[in-house]
Amino acid sequence: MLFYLRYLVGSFLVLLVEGTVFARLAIAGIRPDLSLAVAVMAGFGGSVRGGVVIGFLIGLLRDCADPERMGLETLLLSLVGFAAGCTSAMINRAHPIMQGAVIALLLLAHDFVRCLAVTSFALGEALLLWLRYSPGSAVYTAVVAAAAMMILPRLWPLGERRAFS
Amino acid sequence: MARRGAERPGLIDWMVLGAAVLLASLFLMADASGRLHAARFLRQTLLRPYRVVLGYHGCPPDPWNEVRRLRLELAERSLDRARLEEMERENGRLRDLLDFRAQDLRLLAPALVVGRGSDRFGEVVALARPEGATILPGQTVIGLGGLVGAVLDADGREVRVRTVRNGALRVSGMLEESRCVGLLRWRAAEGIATLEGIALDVEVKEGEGVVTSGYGRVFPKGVPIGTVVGVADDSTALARSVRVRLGEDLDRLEEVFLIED
Repeated sequence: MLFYLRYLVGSFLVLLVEGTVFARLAIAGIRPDLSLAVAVMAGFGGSVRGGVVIGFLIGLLRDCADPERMGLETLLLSLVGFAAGCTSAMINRAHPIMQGAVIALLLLAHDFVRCLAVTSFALGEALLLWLRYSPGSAVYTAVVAAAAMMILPRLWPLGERRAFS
Repeated sequence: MARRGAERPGLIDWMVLGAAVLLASLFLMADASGRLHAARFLRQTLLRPYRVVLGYHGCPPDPWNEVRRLRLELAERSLDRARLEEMERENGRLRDLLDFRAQDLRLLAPALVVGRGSDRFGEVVALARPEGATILPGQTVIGLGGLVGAVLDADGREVRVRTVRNGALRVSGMLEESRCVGLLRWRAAEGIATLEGIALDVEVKEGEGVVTSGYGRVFPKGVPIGTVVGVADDSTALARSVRVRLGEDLDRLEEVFLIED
């Protein structure tokens, strides 16, 4: 339960920071997707189901802020958390570069599906939209998340492998 | 941390994922009002502690909708600009017409050209009947550039005008400088008019103005018709034909005036 409580508080803080500080730190309209990074770290630090639950919660929060496509972020971030949990044992998840790389890859996949959804599955338009924003956002998010993981190791322990012990 | 083999998700993990996907799909399949109600309900209950951050977060950036909105705005602005340009052109034409009208001493009734006859040569045009104006068959119709023709007939809303291209309309024209009178004739194949019956000994200059002579009382005297662009010399003929470019472009008529004698 401590795992979930920690991530609930963490997601609250990350959403706050994302909506205030990083809203002003956009580079050419590109902002980091820190809440997705939290879902990935939940999959890394807890278990597969921990990643799914935290991803679901964060996705639900984002959908409540934008009800027009309610359910999309909930679905996508649940899958992101699941994927992070599944791959966490394949890599050196304590290494910031590996963390950043996984976050970037999952963000690219998430954004591609989202772009398809918002363009009503017009592949050409979705690709253009994805190319315009996603690679930059992936790099920005990976850098910020990896830097945060180096600076705040006590808040995001990766030693726990199970949410229910 | 050492690497291990890939962790296989257990049954519980798959069930949790299935439940999350199912819930998310239910939201996705709901209609717009259902989604709004669900969002409002969740914000007020389960997600109440997060209301502070949702207030800061607002709507996530949606570049696609922003692009669509900008495209729509651009299309509207382009349309407005095209309308504005057309209004400016019309404004310019109307100013010219007002200046023209102020110089003329005759009573003029303005009229809009609303149609053309079914012939291919612009021999008849239709005008919107000007309100309050007296319309009589044979009434002279002029444009900014000069003579257009004469009223053929009029009914409740429309006035039909026989233009100078019409072979049935006999226009007597006069060279402005030599004051020599001839009969105007339209040459459809060449797109130009000729003033016929000019004496051989009359000096005709290129660019000389041609006006109505007033002969036969068909048209008032002095209404501009066009300018001389050349002389067709035929040594076997007893008289010359003078080529005249009409002052009014009958293919681009938009506003005309009826002379109220």
